[in-house]
Amino acid sequence: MDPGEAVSALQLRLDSRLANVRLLGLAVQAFCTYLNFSDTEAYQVQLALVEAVTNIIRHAYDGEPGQAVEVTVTLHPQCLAFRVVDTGRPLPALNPQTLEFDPHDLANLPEGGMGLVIMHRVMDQVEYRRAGGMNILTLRKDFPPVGRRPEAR
Amino acid sequence: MSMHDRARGVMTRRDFLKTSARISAGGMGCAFGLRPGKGYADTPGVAGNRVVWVHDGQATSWDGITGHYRDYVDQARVNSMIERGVKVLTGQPTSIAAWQQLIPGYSAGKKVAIKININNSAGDTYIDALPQPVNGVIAGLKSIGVGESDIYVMEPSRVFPRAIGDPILALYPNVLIWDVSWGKTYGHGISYGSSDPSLTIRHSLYPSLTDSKLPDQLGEATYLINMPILKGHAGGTQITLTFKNNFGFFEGSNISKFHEFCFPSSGAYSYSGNPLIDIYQNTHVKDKSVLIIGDALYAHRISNSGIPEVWNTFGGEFPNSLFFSTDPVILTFKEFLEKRLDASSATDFKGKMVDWINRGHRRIVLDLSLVDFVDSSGLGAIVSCLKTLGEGGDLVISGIKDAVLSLFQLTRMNRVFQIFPSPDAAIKGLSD
Repeated sequence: MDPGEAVSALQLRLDSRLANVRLLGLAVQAFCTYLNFSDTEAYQVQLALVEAVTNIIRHAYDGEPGQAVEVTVTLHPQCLAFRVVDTGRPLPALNPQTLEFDPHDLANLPEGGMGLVIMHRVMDQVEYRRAGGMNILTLRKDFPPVGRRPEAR
Repeated sequence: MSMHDRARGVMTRRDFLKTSARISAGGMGCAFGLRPGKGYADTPGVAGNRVVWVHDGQATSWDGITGHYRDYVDQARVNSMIERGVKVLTGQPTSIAAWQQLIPGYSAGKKVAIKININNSAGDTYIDALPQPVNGVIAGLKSIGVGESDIYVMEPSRVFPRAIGDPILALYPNVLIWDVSWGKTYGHGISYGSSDPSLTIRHSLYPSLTDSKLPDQLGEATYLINMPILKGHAGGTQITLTFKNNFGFFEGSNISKFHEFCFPSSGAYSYSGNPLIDIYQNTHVKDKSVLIIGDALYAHRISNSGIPEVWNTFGGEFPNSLFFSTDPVILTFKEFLEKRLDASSATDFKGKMVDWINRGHRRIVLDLSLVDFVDSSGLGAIVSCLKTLGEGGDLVISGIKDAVLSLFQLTRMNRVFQIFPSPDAAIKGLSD
């Protein structure tokens, strides 16, 4: 889907520390609330971003602080888009993941590997590419149905 | 139901349905169910290791701008909060009975030291000790016959500001105020001249520290009431509504070095040891500490040099809270105030849960009613706790917000955990 022309955009840049992911999460939550997403939708969009950036800090930057993660939030007429850029190690392809487990098999319940699944289930589009030494992740969330849409500004 | 029930036998997950202990009211890190409505909060661990939380939204009335926040505290309400706190803490029906239990064997001449936390070395607007909770404590002590002249209000490392000392002396003129001995004092000058060797603390494991001397007036006291305030600390300690208040007992250069041991960013910081332990082991601190009252009427989350802040945790208001415990080593309250279980807090949460489980707790209700956000790291930590419990125990969830529940649904973990609307429903459902 063509997201249409950007209405407005904001760039956030954070140092690669997990404590900063909280601040990003709170900002994303605020955007979503403003855009009339429901509590659960706003939580889920926040969750997707938190998972994405946590993943970058842990895997692209190996948990090292002092590296930059840049998040551009763009408001389009029909959707909210996020572009997350880092200069760390290439990430494994972000293919849709499955999460299969037997809920009664206690010892084999997953404790990790859920972040990508969450991103794909929550967002309407997830794309990853590597370009110019950068990991570029784009996430798109379509607006709620008509009636709960924000007014155009 | 006792908060300290332990199931010691082998128990299957199905057996768990029959009975249950729960972690309640802030039990295990991260604000899991700190509920002022219930009037108390329990920490995990041995019986008696309990924190009582008392909240009164009308205890303070500062608008954040006008005058000094200290002048907007309702003394009568604070007195009543203290009465409630000591009653719940001791389980006694009256405040007098509670104080008699807390100050056992008092007779005229035995001194009660109240160590307050004057933080205000640089500016009078900073978050600081309030006189009203001190007055509430003095009222309680007097109600069981403690003479005013047996009450020492002390801050050995600071000069008492008039604004804190005068309101105490206005109500209780014969109480003795002890403050810093160098140069100028407001009250009586604290002294360190005693030759009693038990007043000297040796730091044999910490070569950078010289011996620490406790004040003579603590030596004279039979009872110690510690009154920290809810604040962070510039330099990086976490919330220090804590035993750290005892740092103020000392003169000399060790105070700043003690602080370094509390800063995770400092080279002196260690998970495995801390000179706080030396202080705690001293008989004048360990054996005299009868009560800790954390003053969180106002608070500052991050800094010791800021104006009091409203907190989301407390509904966007000033905390308007007092915390009571008889355990002198309530290390940090930060855990109780956390609202997010994410990659930053999951490891800490998991460590504390595993400690709790290893102490014999096998059946746990994790109340998430005040938790706003859980990510996959937090969820992974909860799953890990369930695995640690193994087949002999179980962990169920209560009070989860709809949004957070959606994470369990997205990851299909709602098939793994039983989810109840409230801790009480979990207990009831599991008992049926």
